[in-house]
Amino acid sequence: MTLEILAALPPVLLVVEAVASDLRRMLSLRFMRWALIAAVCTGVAGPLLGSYLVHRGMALVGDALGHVTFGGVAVGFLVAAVVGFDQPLLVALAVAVAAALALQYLAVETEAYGDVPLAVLLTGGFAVGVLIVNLDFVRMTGSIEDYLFGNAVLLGRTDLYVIVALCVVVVAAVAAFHKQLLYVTFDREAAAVSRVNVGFYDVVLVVLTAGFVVASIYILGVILVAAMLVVPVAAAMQWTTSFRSSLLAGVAVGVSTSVAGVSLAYVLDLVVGPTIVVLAIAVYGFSLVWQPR
Amino acid sequence: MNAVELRGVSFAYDERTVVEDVSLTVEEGGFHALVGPNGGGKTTVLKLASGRLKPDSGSAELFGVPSAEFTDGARIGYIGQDPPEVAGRMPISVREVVRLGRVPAAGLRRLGRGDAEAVADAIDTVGLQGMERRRIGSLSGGQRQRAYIARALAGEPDLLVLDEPTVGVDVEAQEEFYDLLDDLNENGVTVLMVEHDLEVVAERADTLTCVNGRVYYDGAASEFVDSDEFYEAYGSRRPPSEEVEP
Repeated sequence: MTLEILAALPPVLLVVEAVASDLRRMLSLRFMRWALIAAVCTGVAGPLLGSYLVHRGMALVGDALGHVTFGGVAVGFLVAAVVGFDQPLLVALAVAVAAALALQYLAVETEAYGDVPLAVLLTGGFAVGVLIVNLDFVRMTGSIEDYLFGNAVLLGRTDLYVIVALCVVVVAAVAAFHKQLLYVTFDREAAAVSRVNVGFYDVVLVVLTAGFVVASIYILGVILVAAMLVVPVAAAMQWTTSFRSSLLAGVAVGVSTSVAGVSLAYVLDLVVGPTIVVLAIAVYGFSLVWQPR
Repeated sequence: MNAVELRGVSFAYDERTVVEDVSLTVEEGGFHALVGPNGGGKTTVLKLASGRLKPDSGSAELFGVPSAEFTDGARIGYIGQDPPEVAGRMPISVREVVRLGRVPAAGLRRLGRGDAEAVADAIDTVGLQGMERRRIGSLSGGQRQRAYIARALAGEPDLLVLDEPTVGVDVEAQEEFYDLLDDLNENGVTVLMVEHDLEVVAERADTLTCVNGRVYYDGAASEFVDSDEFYEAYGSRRPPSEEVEP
């Protein structure tokens, strides 16, 4: 038995050595190091916000804002072509925040984050984006697919700064407003009666979500960005009995699947966004089977 | 000073008038019930009283301050029906739920030792010690309502506002809930409660307002079910054997 194991070791070691070599090469590449930093940011910020969104039935807000962000990036390329300001991520951020505020306005007017406002934003943002990038004079960096499913190669230095800054803002805001966000999430009526400003914290949550979506566009892409808001949280829910531990477990799942997804995509030459999402869903599937609580 | 005072309050959702010319007073330390048929506007009156809704006409005051301008949320504890998310899905512990009661007083500061003591005291008061780490969704309906009372108590409120708090709770747990409420009231906490069970109201509350679009009765709780206004508000005739002799 022992001899059989020893005989099988060399091929296994060869595979391990090959993977290790790939990972070393990955870490020697600046754009891949940047991708890993962006993946960590995405893995932290997504589940943090998702923990509040999921329990308020607002998970698809991320999906709608993701599609709007595609429109925002397209507007960024349009702005670059017309006035020469070549920072599509910053323009996308402005568009996404404006869309988040519009969504919040519609939610207040209709007293719900209903299907109609979400569908209008989702389809409208995407349609505007496609129209703009098909204009002859607009020059897009990368292809439409890169923004739909993520492509870390497109990450520039300024983009990385924006992504890290957005992640820091999300973490700081959640740390500052956690108690209020949790109260509004758990029992909106009781929070309102106790004079917690529920409208303000609604705005905080959707605007932060807009920031997260923009920060995730190169890693996850607009189609898949909602997964990082939902799937790690759904997995964490199976393992935890408190909101605090759920937050931490969600972040752990988010960071580990994001980093593993970027690495695996590099080693196996896969698309980054779908790789991360498939890994996260695998963890969710595992959480359904193995529930220690 | 009155804890709650509504004077000639009317309110409409869009064009549909829900309540008209409602007046009621809840004295500090009182136990006041709001009753009436389904759809009669009880919860709307509760929201007007707690400042969640602004009246279209008339005035609403909390502790002598117009409800819309009342900012001291820590003085009000709210207990409603079970939030739907709680029924098993949301991972939140009993202690975390009770800690929420400290949020209005704490604002943006971190919760400290004093807050932790208030939370522990509130949990002890409702008899949930030993269950602090349990997921709230794993508790029975009665235990969950005790946790919500603890949340309200943790804020050390002067006024408890309750909206049909025992819906879906078994009879034994309801008794315990109302006994606890009585104790709190005897210790000076004012209670304003929407309740559909008139037997409970007659037994527990001091005063009562019956609302069905307008006020049908406003007076002693114990005398309501024997009054003509009870039959008028609920749209039924007094049984012949109970007809009052002219």
